[in-house]
Amino acid sequence: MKARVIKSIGLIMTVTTFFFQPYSATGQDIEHLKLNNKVSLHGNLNLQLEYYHASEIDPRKKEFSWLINGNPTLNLFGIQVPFSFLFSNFENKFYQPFNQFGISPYYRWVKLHLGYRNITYSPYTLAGHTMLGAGFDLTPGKFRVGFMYGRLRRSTSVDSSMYANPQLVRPVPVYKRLGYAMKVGYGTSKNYIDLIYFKGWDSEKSLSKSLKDSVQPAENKTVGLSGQVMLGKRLAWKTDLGFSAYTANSDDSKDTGNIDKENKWIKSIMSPLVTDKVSTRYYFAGETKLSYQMKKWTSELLYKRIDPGYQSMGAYFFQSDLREILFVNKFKLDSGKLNINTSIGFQKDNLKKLKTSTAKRFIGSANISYVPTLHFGINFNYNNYGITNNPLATSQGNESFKQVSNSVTMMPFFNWMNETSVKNLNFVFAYQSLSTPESSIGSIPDLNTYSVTAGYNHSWLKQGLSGNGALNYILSKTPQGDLESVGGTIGAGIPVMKRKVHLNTVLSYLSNKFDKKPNGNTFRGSLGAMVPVGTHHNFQLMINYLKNKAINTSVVENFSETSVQFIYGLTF
Amino acid sequence: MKAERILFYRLRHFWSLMPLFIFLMMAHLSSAQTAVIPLKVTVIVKPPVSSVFSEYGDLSNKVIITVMNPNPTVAYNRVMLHGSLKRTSDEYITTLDNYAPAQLLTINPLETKVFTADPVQLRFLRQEVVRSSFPELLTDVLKNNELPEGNWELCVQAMAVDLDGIVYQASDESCFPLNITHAAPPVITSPFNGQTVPSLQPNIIFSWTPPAGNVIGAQVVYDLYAVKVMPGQSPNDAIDAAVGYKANNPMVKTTLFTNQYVTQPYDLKLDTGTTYAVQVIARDLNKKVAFQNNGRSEVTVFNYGSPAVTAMMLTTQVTPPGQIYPVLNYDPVPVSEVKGKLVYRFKTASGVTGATVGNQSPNLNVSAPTHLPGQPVPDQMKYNQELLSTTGAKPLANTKISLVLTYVLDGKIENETYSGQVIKEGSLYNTQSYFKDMDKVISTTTTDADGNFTFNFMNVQNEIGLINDKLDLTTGGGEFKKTAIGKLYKVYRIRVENNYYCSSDMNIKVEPWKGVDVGTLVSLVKSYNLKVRVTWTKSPYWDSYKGKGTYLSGVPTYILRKSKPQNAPPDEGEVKTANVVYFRGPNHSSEKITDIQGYAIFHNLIQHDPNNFSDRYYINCKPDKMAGDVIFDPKEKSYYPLWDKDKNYFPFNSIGEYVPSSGFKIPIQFGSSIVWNSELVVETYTDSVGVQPGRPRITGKVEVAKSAGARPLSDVGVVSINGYKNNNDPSKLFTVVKTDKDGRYEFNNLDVETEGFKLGETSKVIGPTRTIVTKPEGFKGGSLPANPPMAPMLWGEQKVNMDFSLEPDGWINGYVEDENGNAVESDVDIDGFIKVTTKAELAGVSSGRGNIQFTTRQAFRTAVPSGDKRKIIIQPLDAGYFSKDTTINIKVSDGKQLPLIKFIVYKAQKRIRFQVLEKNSSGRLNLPGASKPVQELQ
Repeated sequence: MKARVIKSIGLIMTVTTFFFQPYSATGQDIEHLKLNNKVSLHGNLNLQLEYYHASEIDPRKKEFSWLINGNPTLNLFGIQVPFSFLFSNFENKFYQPFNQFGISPYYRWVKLHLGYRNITYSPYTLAGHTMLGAGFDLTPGKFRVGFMYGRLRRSTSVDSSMYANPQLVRPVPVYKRLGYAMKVGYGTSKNYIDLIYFKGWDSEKSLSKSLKDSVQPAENKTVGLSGQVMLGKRLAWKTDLGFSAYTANSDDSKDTGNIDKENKWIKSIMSPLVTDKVSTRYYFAGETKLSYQMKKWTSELLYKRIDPGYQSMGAYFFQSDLREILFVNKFKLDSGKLNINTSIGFQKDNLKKLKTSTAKRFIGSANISYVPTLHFGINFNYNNYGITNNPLATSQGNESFKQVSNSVTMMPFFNWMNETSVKNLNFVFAYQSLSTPESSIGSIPDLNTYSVTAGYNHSWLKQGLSGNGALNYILSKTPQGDLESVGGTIGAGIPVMKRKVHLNTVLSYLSNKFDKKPNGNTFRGSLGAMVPVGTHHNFQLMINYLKNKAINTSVVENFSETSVQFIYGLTF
Repeated sequence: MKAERILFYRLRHFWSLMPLFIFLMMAHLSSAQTAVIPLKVTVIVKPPVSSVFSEYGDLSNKVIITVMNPNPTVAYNRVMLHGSLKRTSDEYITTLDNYAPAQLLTINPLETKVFTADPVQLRFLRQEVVRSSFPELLTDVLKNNELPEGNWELCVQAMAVDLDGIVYQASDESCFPLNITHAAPPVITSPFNGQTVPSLQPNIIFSWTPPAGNVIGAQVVYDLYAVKVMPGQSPNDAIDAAVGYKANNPMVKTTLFTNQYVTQPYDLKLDTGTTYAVQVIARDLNKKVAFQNNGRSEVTVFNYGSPAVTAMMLTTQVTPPGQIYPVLNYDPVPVSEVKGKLVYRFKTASGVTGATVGNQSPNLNVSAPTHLPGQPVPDQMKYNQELLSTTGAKPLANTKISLVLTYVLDGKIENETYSGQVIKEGSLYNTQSYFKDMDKVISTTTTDADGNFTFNFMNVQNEIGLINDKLDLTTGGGEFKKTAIGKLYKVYRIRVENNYYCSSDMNIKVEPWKGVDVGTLVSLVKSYNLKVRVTWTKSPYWDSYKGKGTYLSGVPTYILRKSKPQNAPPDEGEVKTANVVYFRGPNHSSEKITDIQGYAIFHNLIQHDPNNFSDRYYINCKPDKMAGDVIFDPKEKSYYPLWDKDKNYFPFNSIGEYVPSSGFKIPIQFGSSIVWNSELVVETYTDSVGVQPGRPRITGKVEVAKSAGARPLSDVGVVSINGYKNNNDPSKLFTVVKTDKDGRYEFNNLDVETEGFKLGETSKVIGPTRTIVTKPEGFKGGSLPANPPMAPMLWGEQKVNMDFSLEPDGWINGYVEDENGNAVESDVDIDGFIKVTTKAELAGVSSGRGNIQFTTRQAFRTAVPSGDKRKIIIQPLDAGYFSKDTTINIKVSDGKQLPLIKFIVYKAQKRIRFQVLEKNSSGRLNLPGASKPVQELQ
């Protein structure tokens, strides 16, 4: 273990040393970049080291972890080369990679993509799925051309640890998945039209013969159409359409039996591109949005429809079998002192009547922020989420289900400030309820959570000192019993060594109850030191300790945890 | 088609066996003579409907199948059940034709059998006994053990076996619809995607919808994952790794029975200012329900709290410069944001760099409304506007800048007028006590590679802008007092924390919870001009040319650095043209020539860091050996104060101090304390360089006279005949040098004959006089000066154009014609010295009897260097002639009476060789002397 830690630290130091090399920097032409500009590098880098130890419970973190992550941009004679990387000791060859790196250099209208990239052409074709490969975007004049080829996921075998993972009910191996996407378009950022083609397929050779028996290789072709047009100065109309042909098993033979399939019109559209196989199915997804923007009011109306089962290998999983209407309004009133944002959405599934019941969802939210003076303000949030599941008349079962979730948060605050100090008193009142008035899957008790926090902060600006205290009350009414915690937090921030080092500490103590009976307490303490060096470097050391005492260990165990975290941040 | 064939086969088989069937029935039954009615089968599937294929392998307790024999007298023996799972009429999985259970049934007349839990009879769809209309369909279903989503039917049919063992259909199919759908995974409803959860809230409430779809019979539980998303990372990738192998230490809650989780005090702490990705995974403990995407919800993200007071901005919208926009934070601390772009340029009156002169306009808005009685005094200050032109400016990259609080006055301090200038420390007595937090740094940041910057800061100033419209402040007391009157403003300004640059005079006003994009700010480089005068040294010893201390014009002078400070502007100096730079940092220099007053002026030089002794320029002078009339030793001089006392008169960019080496050891300050653009005055400093005169020098060239081609004569001896007054050394009487390949000669470090040395007095030059002569072979000799000898040359005297233009001493007359006497116009090259072209002239030729015939010939007449075997090349202009090379002797002559030399050139002819043969004969005909006109051969 020790040797591994030392090896890891060695690797980290090697990588960081590379980035600590001095870089020459020079000014750039204000009008445009020129080839005679020199080389410069700017961006950020973050290094984290963490040691963790837990007693009396299974560890909830890795004992020692390191992670280095950066997003620098290299200016190479006028060519911008932004790249990103993430390395750590979390990599596991049996799963998709955690460690990634990639660059997207660009010069004028030419942009290249190399390495791990997340490119989006439209929401229903290539939509931000991580690809390890190469591609380009060309935008000469009003033309918009893009291409990307690469690996969407690597092949993974079944690892014994998968069987221990509760999530993986049925561990299956995964084929290596490859894909490419092309985009041809014309227009500006305000008015444009793009035609997109995406193809993804599983590489059969990527799995051994024995593993192939348990999983079938798939292939997918999607065609997308995206466009936006400004109807006047304030009204914009945006549309995204996707047509997908998804073959669950690419080994299937060609469908010569002319199987009666859904969405024949999509099949006829895509027939020049797709070999119709027995397991090939055709799907449609689309959304259209009208946006109207004024100085004090912005409004959006969205309609979305996604066929059940719609999927593109170029996109991560998203909810399908969905019809949605969403109406969003944003108001900025009283010279910006009063901001009101509202959103109302209706969703419905079972578009093809494949399910025995239809779920309707209502999503409503309101956010009001009112700051009339410097000394007082209030934020108010309300969210409502309702779902109603009604069985069809043909259903043999009773899948009726109703559930409503309400969430209210109110945060008034008061400030007193002058040139020497800032004092503020703030309150957070939060209430969340989950009510299930009707359920065919058994009675579900209501869940309610209340929390109140009163906090006071005092900052002495000249001295750089700060102190804070808070009182907390939390009550969660759960089916197992009420969970209740009462306690407080105190903290302070102190600059030392001529403000070169900033110390901070937070201590919190919460007395816990379960079902109205005392159930121990939770103590959490942290001590941190932050050392900014110049404007580019920041070193931080944090020590956290958690001690939980419980009487009823069926709810939570007695345990303690310690972690030591070192963070180095570099901006350059 | 295959399915149709099977059905047809079955039907045909069924009807073909009907007579036999009837016969058998009749044999068994004694009385009934009625037709046999098929069995009636009905099937009902008990909910829940499973999408798991193996669930249909044994339908015990999942279905209710009734088989009724409607015949009053006929019994059905050897009956069994077959079934199908049909997606469409074409796509189905059905029982193998030869399947038979272990035990066959008998259905007696009018008997109804109900099958609900009969494992023997209800296993007709298990994996081993089925086939499919499409083998791929069965393969796919068996691989996943799941029926694909869609409207399926479970169909059951009674089959019977006759005495010959042939299976026939004993009933019609009975079907029950199955809606096979995979349950939709949960949808996370709290925190909603993109939400910022205030870190003040003691707990986070995660909520999600239960999975929608066919979940009856399932025992659904949930696993909750929340993990940090690293900058640049895809939230989906972060979650995939967290779910797969707990990468990046996620918060994990498994086997939750309700669709909500409220974090508890003992849960893993979430870091404030961090983005988290969340996923909920639904699982069926009964393993009967399949979920789309393996039960994994869409990944959502939320931000937990704000990172720190200095970077708590949540709104980063694009706004036009100067526009105010709201800035929100979830911690109730008054915050503001100021963003913009910083550029720099030189302020120069010459306009060499920076298109406009940077004269600072007043910050006051003269067109502001006038003060009305009873109304507040109007604020006339211009806020958030840059007053300087940005033309020619470049981004000031990677530079530390501070947002500072300043006090600006529109009025007077004593007799000094302030029209929007900053009140500085020391301009009044005890300023800090009157102006709280004056020059306080509110926030600090560093510009990026493009000069962009953003300040996020606590904005605790209750008053920004006009804070006193009638300031009348007297500071100090007694004899030492200073009074300020006028309007007082408190504003933010951006100060460049780099002494090589001034800071913009932009006054920034922004209220708490507001942001402002101030656009582009201009920082002027703290620069100066340097005027260098080059003179002779004032040393009395030298009897120098033009006299001691004379300003030297035409002297190449340049400036260089030997090291450049790290933070200094990269493009100091000035550009003469697009390509020629007078001076740009270390090792990049180009000379300027001193004017008639001996001056060379350098612009855009950068003021110096008083604490960096290597931050200095060096002035270099070097003689021009091709121009000018003076010669001296090259001189380099450091431009830096030699003595501490001189430091007050030197362009330092900030305040430094020194301790005198004698007297009171009290540190003495020097340098400049200017901060703002409006304070910058680009001053011109002067320095002189005294150069020491060198020994006289004579240089020039020897070439053929222009009339004869002006060709340089190389390797020609040039002699200086020196006439000394007091020196009889014969070796000094002549000095000989030779011309180089360009015909140039140089007499360097010439001797100077002076009077005897007298301490402190000039030793007067008395000699030698000089006559420069040369006589190359083939040319007439030359001597300089025109009136020899040359007067004694003084120290530092240089003569650079002592050029000889020599005439050839020979002559040649000639003409060119061909072998037929035709004149041929030609170029004539004489030994490489002279090139002439013949000219047509009339020539009279005596034809006897006193007659003269006139003809035209191509002749040339030219002076040429004399000598033996001079090479003559005749090159006819008509390409039909060969050129001609020859050599002749050319004698010394004035030439004009010499006879003409004839040069004959020949036509460049071709030959034709032919043979004459007898017609119609293969033999060769020997016909010597046969001829044929060439024209006929063509």
